[in-house]
Amino acid sequence: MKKNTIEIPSCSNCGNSKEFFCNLSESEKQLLSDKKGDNFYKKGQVIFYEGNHANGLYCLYDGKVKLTKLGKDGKEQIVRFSKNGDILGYRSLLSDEPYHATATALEDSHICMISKEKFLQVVEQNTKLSLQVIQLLSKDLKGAEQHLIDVAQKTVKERIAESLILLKNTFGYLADGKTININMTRSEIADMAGTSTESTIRTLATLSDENMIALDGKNIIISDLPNLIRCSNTYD
Amino acid sequence: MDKDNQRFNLQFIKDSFSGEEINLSSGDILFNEGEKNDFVFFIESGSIKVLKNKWVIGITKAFEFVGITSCINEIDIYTFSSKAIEDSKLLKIKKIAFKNLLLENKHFSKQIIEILCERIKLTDIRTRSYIDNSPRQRVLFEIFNNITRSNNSIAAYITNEDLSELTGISKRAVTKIITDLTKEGLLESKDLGSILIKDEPKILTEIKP
Repeated sequence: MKKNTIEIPSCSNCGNSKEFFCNLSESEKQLLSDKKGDNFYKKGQVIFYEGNHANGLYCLYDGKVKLTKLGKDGKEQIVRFSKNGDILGYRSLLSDEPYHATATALEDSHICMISKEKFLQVVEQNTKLSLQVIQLLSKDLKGAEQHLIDVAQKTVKERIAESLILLKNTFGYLADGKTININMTRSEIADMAGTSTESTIRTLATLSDENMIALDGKNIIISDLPNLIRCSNTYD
Repeated sequence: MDKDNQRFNLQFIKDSFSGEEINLSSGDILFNEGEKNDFVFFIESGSIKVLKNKWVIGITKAFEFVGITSCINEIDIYTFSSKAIEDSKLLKIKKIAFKNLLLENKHFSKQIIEILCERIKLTDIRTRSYIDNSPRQRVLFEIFNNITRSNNSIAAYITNEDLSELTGISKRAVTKIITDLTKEGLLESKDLGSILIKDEPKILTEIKP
């Protein structure tokens, strides 16, 4: 279990800065860092709820988060995962709308919060950052469109295979080089693929019988990645 | 988006970009998936449908851009195809000129951010609709998503074929749904893909229960 008190560095010294903040000047990073909040979230804790007023930008310093939307009959749909260095809530801030999804910690996580006003101020001032925001949104739009097509056109098996590949691409493997580095319930995998839990359980069993994956409790081991990719019918 | 509510001023776009104007007839292809993406297009009049893997992922109308994401996403090819739904006039803008204006003009940049946020939201809603909603609700959603308000009327300009492609429902089933909705007094189907909305509150209740 992670310690809940660690020293989170300022934005200038954050090793997670990645592409998004790399075009900021030192003074802009300092502006974001001033009075930046940082919180510890235990596994399962909610960072923000879909529909709540968007008051800040969240930056995942350490941990894993899922973003979900609530459909009819209370069914949850996973829309995205976030890992170290990812930012959350930016679309709501940019469009001045409530949070579009609920963000929940998948494991103990440390998350920074930058105020809405400061984030928007920096985006407005820095046109290169503004362009990066547009690039990020374009990537999100491409992902959303692909997801729509997948739900509409792909079979359940293809969607489950694609969901497993997405998990592997997002979180990588454990030290053994083949177990996906995240524990997801069958229900959560069903949410990702837009299908029922029952179908997911059956399909995972089929993929296991076909030696593309192996199941060890909640752990999913990818035994044959090339075949799994072929099965997902993904060519991008 | 209708002329009164357009986000972009046509004159501003023409002044900012010295692009070639092109005319397309209904059914003409603007670009194919996989082609080199040197241009972004601004629709002066008409409408363009956007397809990926032969699936219609959206319809873009007058005073909007087509090809933004392929331009911005730092890849050399269009990742989707586009085709004119009706006779259309477009301004062909060089990719580099589009990006330069994003860097130079904060207001323009902000408008593009708004468009992308709206498109993501709409796509998410459509995905959700596909999973949760009945074929009838999906047809109603797409009709309502393409409405134009003028004076005292609300109308959508979308053919049954387009509705079929947007929803993944067969054209025959779409036609039946439109017939049923017309009999129930929710809408009136006119010629050339024109659908008049007769009972907006009831439609809204049905698509957003």
